[in-house]
Amino acid sequence: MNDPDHNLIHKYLDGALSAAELAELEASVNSDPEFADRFAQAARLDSDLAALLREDASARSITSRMRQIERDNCPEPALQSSPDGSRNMRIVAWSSVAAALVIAIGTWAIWRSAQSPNNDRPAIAEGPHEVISGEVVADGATAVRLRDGSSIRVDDTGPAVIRLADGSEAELGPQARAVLYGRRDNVRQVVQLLEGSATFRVTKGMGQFRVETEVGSVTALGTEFAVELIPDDPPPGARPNRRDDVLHVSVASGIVEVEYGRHKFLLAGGEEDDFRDDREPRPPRQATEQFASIDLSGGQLHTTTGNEQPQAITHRIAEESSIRIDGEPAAAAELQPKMRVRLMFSEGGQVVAIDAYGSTITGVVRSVDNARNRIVLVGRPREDGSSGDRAYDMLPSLTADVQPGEKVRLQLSARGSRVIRIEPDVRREE
Amino acid sequence: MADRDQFLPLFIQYEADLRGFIRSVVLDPHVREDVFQECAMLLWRQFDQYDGRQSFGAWTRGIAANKIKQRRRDDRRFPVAFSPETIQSVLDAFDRIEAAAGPRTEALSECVEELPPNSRHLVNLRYERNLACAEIASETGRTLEAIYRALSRIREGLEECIRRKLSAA
Repeated sequence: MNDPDHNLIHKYLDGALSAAELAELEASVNSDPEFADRFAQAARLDSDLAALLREDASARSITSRMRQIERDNCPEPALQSSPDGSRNMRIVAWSSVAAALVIAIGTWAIWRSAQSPNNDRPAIAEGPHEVISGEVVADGATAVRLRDGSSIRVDDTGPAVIRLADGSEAELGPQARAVLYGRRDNVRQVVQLLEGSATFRVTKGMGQFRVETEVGSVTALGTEFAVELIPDDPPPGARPNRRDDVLHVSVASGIVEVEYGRHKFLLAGGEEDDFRDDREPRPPRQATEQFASIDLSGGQLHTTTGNEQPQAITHRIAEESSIRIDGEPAAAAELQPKMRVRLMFSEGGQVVAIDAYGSTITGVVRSVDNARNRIVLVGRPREDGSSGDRAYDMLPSLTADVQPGEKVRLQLSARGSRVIRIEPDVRREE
Repeated sequence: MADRDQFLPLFIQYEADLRGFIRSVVLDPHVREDVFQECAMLLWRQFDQYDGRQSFGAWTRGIAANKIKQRRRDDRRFPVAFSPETIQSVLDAFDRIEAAAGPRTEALSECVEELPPNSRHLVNLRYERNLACAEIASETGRTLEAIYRALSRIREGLEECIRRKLSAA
């Protein structure tokens, strides 16, 4: 074989061929059997080298597992010789192929399991996640239970349903690929979706539930939503890149937060949206108002403003939306007119959060008495000679770490007008 | 119909050959592993259809070729550069050069041990650490073209070394 031919083959194996060189290689493989044989030998050698040299800790663990299986179950003659008796073959003698035998363990286990009637699914793995239906391949073997960190692929014959460790259910579409993680920090369950689509029915519980993709992440609490990675066609000649995929999220019920690039989006029940690189972020949808009346009924928020010409506004309220007064969870009936209310909206225009709080006071600190939970701001002297200073009671749990003369902003509570937060008044310094 | 007792030893014997065929057609290592796993499952499921009179290696590669063609047909992003015709030509070539694991793999192991230190270092970077040629060029301070040529020469030398050891045996 001449040198250019040889280089062509090896450049292909190293992923370095241009389109023209690839066409040349294909033409040679199709027209010249000797060239095709050389090509096959080079590919085989390349594969053997990778198998020989990439024996890692995982592979050694697999070797150990195989030895155990061999000791426990395998009849010696079947493992030691090929059917035609031409070659002795001890699987434990050649550790470099151990990594390649992951699937062999799986398939062998399937076969063993299939020997007993009424058992058409082998149990070959342990772990907190359970495959309820469908065919799932995890780390090279069909599995009925999955460990944290399992890399899984769903068979192409249909979807698979997995009950996750936190009780939530994930239905992964055919050929979907994912990695199941357990708890991570304050997130009780993390699923990394690598390819395909999945629908999640999330149980209510402590901590968040998060689906991560190359494109963005989706975080939910007590909800049902679906995530799909839609391949984006690469430009001619370009290699596909998962980061170019379109992230499609649809929410059946509840609320999810989609983190995409540097932006966050809220989606509520009944809403769906596509997220992709060229998407222009919408302005944050929040509204802060003080209503003359406020009423939540029939899944809607009814408000009127207190102007001379009162204006009635009705918003849809999302399921699972939160109501907080002074930062604490509260019931709808506790909302009172004259409270300052901040509304947060989903991408589809539903109210997903109502935060009610009191007014904000700014001024210069005259004195602080943490023992009596009182802070005094400097006032304008009155005509009667009094100082005009304003005193505010603080929540007993609050300690004011400010000095006289400091400019501050006091956040008053919606209930009782007590100081619930003290911050430096940055705006005044500007 | 094949006896299922035969599956595991046969699979182990021809697994490297199957991997070699998939490697020749699918360039992305992660997709390659997926295809291999899918093929292994298919082989297990369809083992009762295997005719023991034909080569087990040829049977496994045929199933792999069909799987790859199907994936290529169903997914335009599936990273296979070859046309179905070329995949068939490569399949035919593998049938001609078929070699089960065993002596060949042992010979390769010995040949790698005999490599000069610089060549062994390059081989380790490429196959043990799974670095791309551009990364190897960056790490060794050599040009990309020099890395291509060096790896090409090393692989050619290893192939020759394997032939020599097998013929001597």
